[in-house]
Amino acid sequence: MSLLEIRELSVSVDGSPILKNINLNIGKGETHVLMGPNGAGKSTLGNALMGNPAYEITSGSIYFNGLDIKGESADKRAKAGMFMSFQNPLEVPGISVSSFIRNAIMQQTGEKIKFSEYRKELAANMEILNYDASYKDRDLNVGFSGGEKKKAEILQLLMLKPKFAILDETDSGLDVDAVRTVSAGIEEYQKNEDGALLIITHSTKILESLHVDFTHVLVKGEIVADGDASLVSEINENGFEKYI
Amino acid sequence: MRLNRLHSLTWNALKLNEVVLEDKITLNGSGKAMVEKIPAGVIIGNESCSDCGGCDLKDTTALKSIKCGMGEEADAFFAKASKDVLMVHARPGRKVSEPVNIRYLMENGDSNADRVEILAEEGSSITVIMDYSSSKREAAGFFGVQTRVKVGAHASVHLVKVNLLGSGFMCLDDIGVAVESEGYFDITQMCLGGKRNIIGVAADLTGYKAGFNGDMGYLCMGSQDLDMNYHISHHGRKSGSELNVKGALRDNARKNFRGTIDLIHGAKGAVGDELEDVLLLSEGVINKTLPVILCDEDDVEGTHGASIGRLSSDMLFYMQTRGFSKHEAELIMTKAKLNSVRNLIGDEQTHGRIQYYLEEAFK
Amino acid sequence: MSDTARERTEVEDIDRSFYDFRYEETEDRFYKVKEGLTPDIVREISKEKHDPDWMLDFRLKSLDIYNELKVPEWGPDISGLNMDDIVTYVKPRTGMQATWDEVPDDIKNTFERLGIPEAERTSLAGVGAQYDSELVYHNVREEVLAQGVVYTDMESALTGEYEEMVREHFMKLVPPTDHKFAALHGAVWSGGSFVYVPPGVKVEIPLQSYFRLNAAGAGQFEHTLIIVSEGADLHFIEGCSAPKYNVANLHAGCVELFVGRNAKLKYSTIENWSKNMYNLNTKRAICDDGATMEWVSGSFGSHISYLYPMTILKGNDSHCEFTGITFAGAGQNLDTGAKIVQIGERTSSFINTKSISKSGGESTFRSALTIREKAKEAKASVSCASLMLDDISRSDTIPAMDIRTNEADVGHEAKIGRISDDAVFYLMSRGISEEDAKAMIVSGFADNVSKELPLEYAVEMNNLIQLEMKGAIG
Repeated sequence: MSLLEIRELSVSVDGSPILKNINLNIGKGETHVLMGPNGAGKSTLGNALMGNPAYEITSGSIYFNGLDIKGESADKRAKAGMFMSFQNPLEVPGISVSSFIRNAIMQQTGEKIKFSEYRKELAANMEILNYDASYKDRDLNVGFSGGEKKKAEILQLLMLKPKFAILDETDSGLDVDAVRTVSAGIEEYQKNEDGALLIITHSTKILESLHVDFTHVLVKGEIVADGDASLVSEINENGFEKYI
Repeated sequence: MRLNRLHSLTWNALKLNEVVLEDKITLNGSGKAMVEKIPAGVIIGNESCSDCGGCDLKDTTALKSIKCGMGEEADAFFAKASKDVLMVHARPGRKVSEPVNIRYLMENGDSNADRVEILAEEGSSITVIMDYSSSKREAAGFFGVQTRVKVGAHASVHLVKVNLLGSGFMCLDDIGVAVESEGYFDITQMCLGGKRNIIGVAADLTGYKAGFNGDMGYLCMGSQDLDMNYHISHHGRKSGSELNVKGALRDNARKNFRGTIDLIHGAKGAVGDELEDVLLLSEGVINKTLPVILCDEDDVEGTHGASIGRLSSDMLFYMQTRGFSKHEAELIMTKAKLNSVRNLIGDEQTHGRIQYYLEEAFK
Repeated sequence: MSDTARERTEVEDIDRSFYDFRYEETEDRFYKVKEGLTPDIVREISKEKHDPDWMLDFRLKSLDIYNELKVPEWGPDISGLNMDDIVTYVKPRTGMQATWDEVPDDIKNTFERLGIPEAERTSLAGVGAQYDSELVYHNVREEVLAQGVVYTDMESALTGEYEEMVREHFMKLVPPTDHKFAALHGAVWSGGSFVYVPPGVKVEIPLQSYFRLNAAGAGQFEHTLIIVSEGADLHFIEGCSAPKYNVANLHAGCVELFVGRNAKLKYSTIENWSKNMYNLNTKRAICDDGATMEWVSGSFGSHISYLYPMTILKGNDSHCEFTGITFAGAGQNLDTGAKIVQIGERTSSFINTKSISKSGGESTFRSALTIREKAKEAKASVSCASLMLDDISRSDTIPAMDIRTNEADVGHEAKIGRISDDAVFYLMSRGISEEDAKAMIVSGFADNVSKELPLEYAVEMNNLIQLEMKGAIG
């Protein structure tokens, strides 16, 4: 049984259909890449999987761990082990990075965590992400640069340890160094052998140092090609023209 | 008593032009101010005392003429209710880093009113923290304080006001400020306790580049009722003001906010900005907002923004993807709002008291 | 650049002389009541107008209410308005005509110069033209009549087959007790239009009423009652102007709009009263389930205005948009805005206004947004921007909000300032002269309103804002 099963999924935004009959299976520990030109509907898929109410599922189903999650709110999905890194993470004035993540872990596990252990783990993960230690006490995303916000998302990924994570254009707008750092963070997540990933991207920069199992090409709301990691390099060379 | 009357009236039916206090207030004089520490460079005294440590302040008429936010009827009330005035005086040029803490411990049945005058002479800087609290959460009574502040040229005053009174208290917090050239007045307010709270703030930015910064955070629960009136008058050229008011309403709480940026003729280059952010958490709440900009000058900028209602759908979704339910997200965002104001206070003890109060409130 | 070296660029006042013409009239061609306001005058108006009995009663009751109510304690000063000097009823001695040829020459020429018959030929489905207190012309296109649309003067509606419908709606939305000038209107109203659009009927091109107040020292109190039935659609335009006199004139009209289930009404006004006018007008709409009300309001004229069209979103899923512009020049104090009450679930409202003050003019944006307890999932946004063109003018913004449900999203934005130096500099760096740059910025500022207007009206508005920019004082 796959960890995530998407069957014949169609999604509309504000009444206009964006995704048509998407089928996709993602197994434990697999890394999938979803590529496609701008406006293909890649982020729509991420948002629909995560349960953003602005995205209406018109038909089809989503199974996570064998359970139909189509009607569940985003927090239920998160508690079930799903995660999404946002393209534009929101600013939360008044709550520090550290306390936000700690609260989130407690929400998801329902258990208190030892503060000392938590601090240690947070520091280790921030190290991987080349994050200055002072960031843990800053208000989440407030006054962060684009790169710092993306790093804060990956930090949450490492701390929350979801079973399945959607990374929505995590590399967009980042310089070379930031892409490398973020990529190191994702690699760290991959070390957990059960952790599955759906990396949504329209460029291939971030994939250079990552292990990829499957690649899917989304054009105009439909998956037009599936392949393995080699598809990434093929698109890297030839672009999406042949699929449009 | 008619309090917090608007400068620019509007439809009576909205019941926002003023607040009428019908309750008769009887004062028993119990519950006094405690000045916890007096940092070097600050003189604390009473208006009537003659030996308060070399206070050479002879003429306080300039302070007395400062208009407060609640208006004339409150002036008459405080003049009658509090014969004496607590004076806080920062001598010219003295930069005082330690805050002056004035604590009012108001217990059940206490009923008192006080007047405080803060004078920061030219080039000085001072922080005054005034906090009102009750040791029992359900304590009832009355507390009123009128605070006048004169910020001299190049001086700066940070005034902190924290209301942690018992749930049966009525509190009148009347504030008047005058800021001279390149002086800066910063006020951080947290209104959490009490049953009925009325806050009036008037600031006159009289000098060139006189500055005002206000941050107000509140939480109204149960049947709490909060009425606020801010009037910031820009007289001075290039004077600047910023006012940030945020909070949450729950249960059957009510809140009125009036905020006026008054750009007076001659205030060339003045900039006034006001932001309000209200989270409404229960069906029974009533939120009224009246942000006014009066403009009698062209070379100025006045802006106002407000966001009122439930948690935005973007924020809610973001929080949910991290595993917070709607209820938890609302709670965490309420705390976040209040924390962002609390963090401006910069006094560990006061932080602790607020923290403790909030933890109890959210139990 | 020092202040003295700075080139002064001025935006001219609106050239209102276009509206100041007045054709020679002889007094005996008009019937008018004495100045002032007494029960006898009200009776005389009622008799002259052949009111049904209930209407005379209504007028007298309204007069009592008028005498009891006080003028508001807020808003611009109206002490210059003395009701003892106002002639409340001036009737041209001509009946209402259905062709322009039958309208007496001086009156016809007035409307010709205002471009009304021309507009009727090219772009309107029907026209009503009021001169002082009575309509002198009313006509509707055949095909619109054939759809069952009724568009007539209030007097005909009141005494004809629609009497019951009028009685059922007349001053129900704006009762005489609403405020002093609503009571005044109830006592001395005359003229105005009645429109009924049957269920499902879409009126493709707009209807228009034009109000001209030509008599010095007179009042105009027209009543507009529009009923748009379920699923119907109408665009109604009103225009108003008057020549300038040295005595106070008064306009206290009343507009009542009933928008049925899933119906849509757009109500556009270009108000250009002369600068001796006290414009104390009341407009109100009520929306049923799924209904849409759109207001487009341009306030350019009058000495004093109090104008806040109100929309009651009673039905679930009903919606309102208000777009307004106010231009206050020398001698003008224009207090304008909007009121919205959201009662139904999922109702939404958008207020978007602009105001410009110059040459000592005062403009005030005043609004009240109320979201009631049951208006779950309500959305509202209030946005107002004001431009100060010099330092002798004034601009105030007084927007009130009363929100009583937690399930609401309310946003508000207000901004007051002058033309941005950066914007002028940016345009100048692209080779545009300072005068042109400022003119472009000011017309850009008013653009959101002009593009909501039908073309002819947008042109009229642009004529109104004759932004003659000139460089002066080096």
